[in-house]
Amino acid sequence: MNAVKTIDIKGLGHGEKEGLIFPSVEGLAANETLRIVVEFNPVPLVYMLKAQGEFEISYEKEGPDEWILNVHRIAPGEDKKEQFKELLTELKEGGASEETKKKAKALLQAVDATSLGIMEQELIREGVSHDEIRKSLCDIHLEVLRDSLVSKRQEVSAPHPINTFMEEHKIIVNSLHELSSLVERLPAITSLAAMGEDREKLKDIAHHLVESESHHQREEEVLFPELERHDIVEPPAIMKLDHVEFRKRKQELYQLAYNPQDYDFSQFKTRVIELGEYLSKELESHIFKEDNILYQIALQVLNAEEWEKIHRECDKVGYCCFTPGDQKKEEIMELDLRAMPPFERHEKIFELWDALKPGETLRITNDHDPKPLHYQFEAEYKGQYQWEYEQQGPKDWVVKIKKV
Amino acid sequence: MSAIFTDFLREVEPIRFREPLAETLGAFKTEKPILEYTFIDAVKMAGHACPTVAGAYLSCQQALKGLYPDEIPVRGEIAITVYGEPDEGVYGVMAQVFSLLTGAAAATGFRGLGHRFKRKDLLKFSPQKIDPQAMCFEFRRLDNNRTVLVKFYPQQIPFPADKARRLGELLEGILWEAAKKEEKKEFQDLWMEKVEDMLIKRKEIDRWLKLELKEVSK
Repeated sequence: MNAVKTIDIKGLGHGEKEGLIFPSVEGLAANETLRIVVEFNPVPLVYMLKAQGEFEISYEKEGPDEWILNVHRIAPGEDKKEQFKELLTELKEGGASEETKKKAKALLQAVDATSLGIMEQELIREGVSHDEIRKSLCDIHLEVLRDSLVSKRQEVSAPHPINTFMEEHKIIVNSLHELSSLVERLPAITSLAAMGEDREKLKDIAHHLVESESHHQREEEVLFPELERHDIVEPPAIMKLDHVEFRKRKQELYQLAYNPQDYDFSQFKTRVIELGEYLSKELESHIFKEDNILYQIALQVLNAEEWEKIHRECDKVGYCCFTPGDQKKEEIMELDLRAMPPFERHEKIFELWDALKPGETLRITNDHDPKPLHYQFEAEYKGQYQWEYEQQGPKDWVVKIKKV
Repeated sequence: MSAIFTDFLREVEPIRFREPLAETLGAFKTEKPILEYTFIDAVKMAGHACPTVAGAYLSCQQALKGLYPDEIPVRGEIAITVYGEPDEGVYGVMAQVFSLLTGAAAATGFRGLGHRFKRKDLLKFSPQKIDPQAMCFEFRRLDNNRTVLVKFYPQQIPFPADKARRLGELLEGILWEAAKKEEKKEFQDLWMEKVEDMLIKRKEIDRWLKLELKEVSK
């Protein structure tokens, strides 16, 4: 039944409006639509209903003196949930056969990413284990819905935290592709010495993979708790389980890469291939799920104020060495020269400057204009620094010198 | 017990207190004994020794010298304002050290016996920034309002840049359990060198730990 009900609440008081809207929305059955006729644009209501993830919201009319909002309940009905349960059983028993995939595709294409996440959550609450969802249903999503999910994906620009997460994902995926190529070359190699440049490459990849830990930490300590506050509990829990699995394997890969001499070469090779294959496949698939399902849910559910808070908290946790510079908080080293004897100042400045990594900044506070220092930088570090006055006298001079 | 700790940690000057609450409730055999709190007590509480724990210990020690120039400091009779948020940087960790040493506590502290011995809310956090270059802490005696403002400048603690860089390089291998025995030793030696410079050698301490005695307001 695709019934349509209408409530006209124009001219009613705030309390009266709410008294009509909420019971009517609550009373909507699956596939029923409620038309709400109101004399202004009910933006807060739209956000609230979208956040619940159970409705499709569209405007039938937008002003100037009347707005008509269509609220259509799209929450997966019990029938869909039952079909998913059956699908899970089939996947457990017979694997992803062509027929099962076909069935899954038809079923999954009928729902969007948010509803899918919520349905998984409900299944878990009804006793289906995280692991079953993670290993079967999540993977089948990916296989059958890859194109459709990507086409529906919402993108945001820097410095939005989701943009940062997604940009970091691109860099992690590049590392995984390099790992995958290295693993393909490895079977033909007979000794550690014969690995040549691949030894250093493996160290570099392992370093990048462990560096991505702060990415997972920001998700687990900042993004996921915000989603949990909106009762989006299970999708983050599945992602956290993935992180645990990856962490163990990244650690082993790192140990192999940095201490290969501790292993017999054939044992070393077998482990690197096994870990490399696992991480290339599973971590890339995990990243796809986060970009196309979890982050999409987050973008729909969290409001601007919550994103501001997430941004601040992410800054506190810190970023990976490879996080693009415009996304992360500027790393600033402070140096107050005012109390320092003049003959020590330049030595101290260059000691700290040498310790800076590209992208980091040294902020100096001085009791005179450090013009000679500027000349020295121009002579010795041309093209490697940016000079910016924050304050120019009369008593103190503050300069930011960024290593580029 | 303290013999298990690195030697110099045991050489740090202790902080002496009287503890009227324990005196009243009969925890001591003698009347008004002097209690000693050592840097090792702070290490046990924090679970490690580092420049932050050392900075907190020294900040508190110097502040108490300013507050009680000719007397023994009294636990539970000192209020502290930490000019930072509890979860901002290392303010929370430093506040825990202050709490251990002075008895001043945040919301979880002892409510007191009648009108006395209240420790709750003696330690407060304020988001106000007094000096953008420094971590600031105010210590105030409850009996006479004598107040000391401590300014701690962690960036000014001298430590060679090459050693700081080496510490960073070694840390990754330590955390992912891939460091060799000699790398672990090198890391620990470098780490402790900075802590020792602060606590024992007190290298250039006037640059990175400054005290301002504030006027007494009645």
